[in-house]
Amino acid sequence: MKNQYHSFKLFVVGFLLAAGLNHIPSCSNNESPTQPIDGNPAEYSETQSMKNLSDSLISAFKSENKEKVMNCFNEEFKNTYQPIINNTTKSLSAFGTALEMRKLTFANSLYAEYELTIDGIIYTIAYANSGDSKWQLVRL
Amino acid sequence: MKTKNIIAVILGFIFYYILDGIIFPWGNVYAHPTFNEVIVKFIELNSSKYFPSQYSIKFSQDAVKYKGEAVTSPGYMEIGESEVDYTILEWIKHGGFSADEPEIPASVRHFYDPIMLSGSKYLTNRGTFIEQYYPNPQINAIDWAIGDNPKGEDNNWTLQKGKQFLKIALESADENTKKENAAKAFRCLGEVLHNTGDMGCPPHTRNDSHAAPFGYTFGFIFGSPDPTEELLNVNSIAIYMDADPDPALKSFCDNATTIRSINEKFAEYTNANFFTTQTINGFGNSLIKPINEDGNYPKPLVNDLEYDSDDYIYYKVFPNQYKIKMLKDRYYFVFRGYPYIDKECVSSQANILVPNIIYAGANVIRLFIPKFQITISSVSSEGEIKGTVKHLQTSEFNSIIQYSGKIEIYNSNSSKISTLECSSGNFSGTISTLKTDDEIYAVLPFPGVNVRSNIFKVGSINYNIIGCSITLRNLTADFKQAYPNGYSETIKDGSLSMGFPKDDPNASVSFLNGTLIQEYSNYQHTDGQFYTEKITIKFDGTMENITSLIASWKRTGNFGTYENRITALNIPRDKTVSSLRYGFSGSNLCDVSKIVSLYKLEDYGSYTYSLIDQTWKCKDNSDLVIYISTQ
Repeated sequence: MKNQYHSFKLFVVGFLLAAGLNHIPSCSNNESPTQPIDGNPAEYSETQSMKNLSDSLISAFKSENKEKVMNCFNEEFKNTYQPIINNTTKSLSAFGTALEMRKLTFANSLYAEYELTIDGIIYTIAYANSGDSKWQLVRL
Repeated sequence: MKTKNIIAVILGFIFYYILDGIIFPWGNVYAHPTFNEVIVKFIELNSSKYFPSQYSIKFSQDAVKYKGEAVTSPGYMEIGESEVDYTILEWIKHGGFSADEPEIPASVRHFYDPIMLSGSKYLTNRGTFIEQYYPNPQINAIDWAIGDNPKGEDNNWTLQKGKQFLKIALESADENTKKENAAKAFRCLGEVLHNTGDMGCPPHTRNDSHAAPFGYTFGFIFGSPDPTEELLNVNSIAIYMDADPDPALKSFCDNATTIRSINEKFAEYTNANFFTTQTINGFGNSLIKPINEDGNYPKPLVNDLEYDSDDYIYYKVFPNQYKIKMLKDRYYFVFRGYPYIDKECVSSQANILVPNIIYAGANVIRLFIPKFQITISSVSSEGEIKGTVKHLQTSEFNSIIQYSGKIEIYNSNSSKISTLECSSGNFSGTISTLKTDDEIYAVLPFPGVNVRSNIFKVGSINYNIIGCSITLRNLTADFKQAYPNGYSETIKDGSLSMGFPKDDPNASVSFLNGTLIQEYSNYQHTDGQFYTEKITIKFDGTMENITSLIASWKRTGNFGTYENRITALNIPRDKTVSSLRYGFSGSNLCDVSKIVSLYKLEDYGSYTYSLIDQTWKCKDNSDLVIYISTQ
């Protein structure tokens, strides 16, 4: 019991330490306005419905099937991205492979952003749904 | 054992970041209440900039609960309300939440396009699509929130209604009526602040409909979610409290006299300075047309931004010199495609958007709180106190509020010594323990706000000054003039001309213990600039000599703010004031002997600030009014 109490105290110490570190400003906004105050090192998790979209996209890109890729897009963005996909000379399958190693950098119930790394360059893509959990691609 | 200890610390460390990592978007459940709370805390920390020194703002310290109707069952089309007990801060936060309830009707009433690109200020984007499912109410966000025209009539929690609730709360002597209406008033304030927050959110000012709340089956009719609204890390907004808002917007807010004008100006600013993902246009790598057909806004334009080809980012340098990431256009499939706003851009833009919301919101609160002047007029030798609560009319509260309710009396140690009753602006009562030279002051206690009087010295005579008009012309003296950059100069035999309008509601005047202070705040001169002028004249004990005179000006215009201050000490008698006039009303009935000090001044008519042409009369056979003039 005494040991458990001791461990709990250390747990609280860790919690407070993190809180303290998180609130020590490295520099004020005025000093460095080009270094905006950002969020925190949050851990996000991909829900099953988001994963379903990711799987569909991976399949579409790896099979180089442009029609399937466009089917994953939100209607509002299709006109913008259709010519990009249609006219690209880049490898769709390379994008699909990168998608398998995607890193989720933000997610809430309506919007998600991922980082993909291809040839050492980081690109971002975004998924969204309109409150109905039907995730679609809105940017790649 | 050591390993166990380390693991415990690490687990605690991780647990913090898990909790902290829960991200909330710009929605009603978390974002708007958080914005409202941060705005309240900001104004509490900076209350001296927003309120006269007699005001104490402490919404977050007021632990008293006020019963009222709150949204307890949120919903898409229908909601449930029931009675709850909240503190004032909780009501303000609740307003941030309840403004979005029920969510579907709210989601089409929270848009305001200041330039009416589609011909109207209300939401039309995806209009024909939405209208198959939900009729367009054709109401813009500001009309809906302010409620000063028929478009806001159906909203029960408008600014107009909030001010009515506040007036009832201030005028009623019944504690329950006061509390009940205070709860309603501050819920209204919270809903108005929600509107202010929305006017700092680009899609709400650029006719860009976005997704319905999570879980709504028909959410698709409203379109896709907006990245700015979703990606803003609301957990971190409090740390923007020290950041600078846009200087022009700040200046406008500082000098605004109506809440509507703040929210309208703010919407204009946000519309003209920020994109949404679907309303980007201009010339970048090629001609960029907005995704929304009705989103071809004239400002900002992509071609007005700075492009950095190394990181594929469009930057904009704002007037406060913040260099903000506005857009990116890096793609794998194409060399520079349609620009987009990602998380990094949103975080950068928060440096402008969030301080603007906090600052505009603080000024909304400033204008929502009525201005009062509390005065202890007299204390008799038996300890009978008389005083007044005078409402200073403003553009928001232009009908007189006659305060009824408690007035607390404090001694110089800030200990409450009595509570008196005030009825329609007049309070009286007896505190038998008071002795000559005791110093006391009166406090009007109101939810979250206390207004205090100046200190009254028992046995002294206090004067209410009414109809004050101070005109100093060609006062010659040795002046020290200080400039905002720290430079100062001494002027020998300088002259000063200064005038205040008579009977102006913006002028506050006090005369106590030989010190005359008049402040005239935020009036707009014919040159379009805003002025605040203050003059403090200290007389010596005989009222024969001016021991110090401080005159200060603050001028705000397109160029920014300019402050000037002139100090003159111990003005000798051989200097000349050609005109110094002001009027007093004594607290006692037409008793000329009570103004003996002033009367003496007339005897020294040949001296410096000679006060000749002194006349007096009884006004309505009650208050004594004296005008002293040399003109």
